[in-house]
Amino acid sequence: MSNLEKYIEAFTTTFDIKPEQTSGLKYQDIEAWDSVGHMGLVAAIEDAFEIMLDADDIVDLSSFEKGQEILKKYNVEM
Amino acid sequence: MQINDSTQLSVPDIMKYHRNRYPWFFVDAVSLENGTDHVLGKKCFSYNEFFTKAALDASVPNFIIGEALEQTFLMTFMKNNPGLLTNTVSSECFYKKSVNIGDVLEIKAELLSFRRGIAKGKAFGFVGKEQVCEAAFVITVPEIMNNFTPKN
Repeated sequence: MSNLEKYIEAFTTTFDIKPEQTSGLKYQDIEAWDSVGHMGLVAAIEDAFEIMLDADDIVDLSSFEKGQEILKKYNVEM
Repeated sequence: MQINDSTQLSVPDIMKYHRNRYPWFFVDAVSLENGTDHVLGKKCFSYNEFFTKAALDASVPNFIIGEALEQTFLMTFMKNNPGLLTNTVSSECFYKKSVNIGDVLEIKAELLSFRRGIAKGKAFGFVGKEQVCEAAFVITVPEIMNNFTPKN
């Protein structure tokens, strides 16, 4: 599974959405991406890439695309 | 009050750590197990409880049992976050045997994880040596969790 597929899977499993719904998705765009859902997403991303996100990055992770940008700092290329 | 791993807490002490109050306060005492994330709780159900007036028989309503389990579980992480507001995200309770008025419910609660303001764990209730109920909880501490959510 590629990094992009893993990243998309973190969103689809956490929020119970389809892969085609991830592009452009932002925090609170859907009911499932609330504050609790956000913590679930962070945990799913951390598990998928075996990393620990910094607090500032967790706060900055406000969209699907922003998350991809943040993961570059952790040497996760899509 | 400074809390440590061998502390025994009575009602006035517990109320310093979580916000439940009479008549929705269902823990009489808790004790912390040395060096673990376990908490032992105790609730004695007497005929003076407000809900006995509405009870159809001698059993304690299940939602009260669930509250006792949850309030004991709260102490597994509120010991480090005294007085903060909590929100229950999920509470899955299983009631195997009825608990009757006059019984002493002993509760063993275990914190499985506490990260970024989200606590996950379990609690098991016993009357005597018999397990009568168990529950799994996900509870948030918004004041901590909100430090990690995107700002609009």
